[in-house]
Amino acid sequence: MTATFTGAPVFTALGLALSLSFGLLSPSMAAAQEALPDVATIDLPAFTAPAPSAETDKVKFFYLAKKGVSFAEAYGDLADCYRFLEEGPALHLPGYVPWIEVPHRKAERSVIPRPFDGMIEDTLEAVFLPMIDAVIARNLDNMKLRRCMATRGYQRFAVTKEIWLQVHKGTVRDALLRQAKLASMAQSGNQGIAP
Amino acid sequence: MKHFALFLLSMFVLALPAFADDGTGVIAVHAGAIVVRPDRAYILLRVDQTQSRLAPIQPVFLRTPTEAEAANYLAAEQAACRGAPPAADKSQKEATSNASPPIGHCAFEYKGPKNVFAVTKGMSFEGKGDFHLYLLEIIPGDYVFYGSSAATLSGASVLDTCNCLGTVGFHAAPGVITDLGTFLFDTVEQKSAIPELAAETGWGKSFGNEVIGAAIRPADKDIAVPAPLATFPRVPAVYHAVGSYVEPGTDNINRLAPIPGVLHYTNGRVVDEMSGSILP
Repeated sequence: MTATFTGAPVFTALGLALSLSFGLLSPSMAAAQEALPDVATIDLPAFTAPAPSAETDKVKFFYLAKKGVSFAEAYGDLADCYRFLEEGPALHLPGYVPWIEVPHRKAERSVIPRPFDGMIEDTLEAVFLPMIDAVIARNLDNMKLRRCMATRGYQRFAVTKEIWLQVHKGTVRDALLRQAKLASMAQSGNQGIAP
Repeated sequence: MKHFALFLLSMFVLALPAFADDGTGVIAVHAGAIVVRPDRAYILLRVDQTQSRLAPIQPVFLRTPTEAEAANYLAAEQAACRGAPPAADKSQKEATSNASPPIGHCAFEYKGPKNVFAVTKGMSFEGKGDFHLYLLEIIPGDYVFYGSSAATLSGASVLDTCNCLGTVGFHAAPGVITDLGTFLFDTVEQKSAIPELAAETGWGKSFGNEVIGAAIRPADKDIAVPAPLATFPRVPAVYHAVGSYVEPGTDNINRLAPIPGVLHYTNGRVVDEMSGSILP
């Protein structure tokens, strides 16, 4: 698979995650409120998908695709699944969740302090998080996104880190549009990694 | 030495089980004199991990808040968060805005009743090893099988995997025992030997043991019931499908395995088999 990329290679994956964490931009809201651009106007990096191997299950960088899916449908699926990437304080048990079944309950809730929690977390955060936080966040997001998209029939396709960064650069919407275009470009000859 | 002794004492205190008066209204019923109160509901469930490759897993339930509880929470949130700075989590530390956040975007300690709880092994009515049966006295109302939690020695736990992509709910009526059937858990890494989880597992090593696969085998007329409970009014749970929901306080998301006649999925969407409708 090849495509052409013309955008500036700026790494903003963390910014993407932060935007989602803050709720600055809700992908599902964006999908509902904004018309999608012509798919031909969305630029993608040029690359050749690596052939699947015994090690590809462990790939950290991938895109998700499904044969026969349209660009609009893929965008809707991605935007819906991005809802689950929202991060918050751990839900300690027992706890309180302001559940609203329909529509979906709001994400925010109170935090119940636990003895030593703050001390331990602050220490770990100060020492380790600058080194590992972005990696952990990306892996957790990957697992959530993979699980959600797998239930809709999407498979993983491995890419290099450089290509992944180019796909995920810019705003959430920009990244989703690129991912949706990639998702709709699955060819019959390509083999994905399931799920 | 003094600090070490205090440390040991704190471990002992943390390890003490607290099944009542923890704000949930949940009381574990143990063998002995059993009384079914007309103003309380009861759930009977079995956790069967005899075919599981996971360490002990605890089902987590959510009780739908009453209107009064929801109003009390909202009032507490508004009182605590009006004009408060953003919650000090790692992402918000990087916020540049000095403006007060909108209601619902600050962290605060809510001291009201709790509506989410885990069923811990210490609550067991009977059982040993990988199979336990639980009888819990609870507040009558509507409940959701919210997710799963790994058991810890101290009893303290967090939600490890939510059933955010689809689950079931049920009503627990007062004065009767609602039989929830058998809860089954396994890792998703390899294909499970548990029939209900076979199609929902086998995702590969990259998932490891972090995501919990969950299934419910509803109670039928042949399900075993302990002799001391045989004379009490008992009804099988009437499950209904519950659509997806966002839970930011968990690292992993999954869905409850399909239940024939109750819960089904099509293209990732939750289908309520009772009505045939696709849920949000």
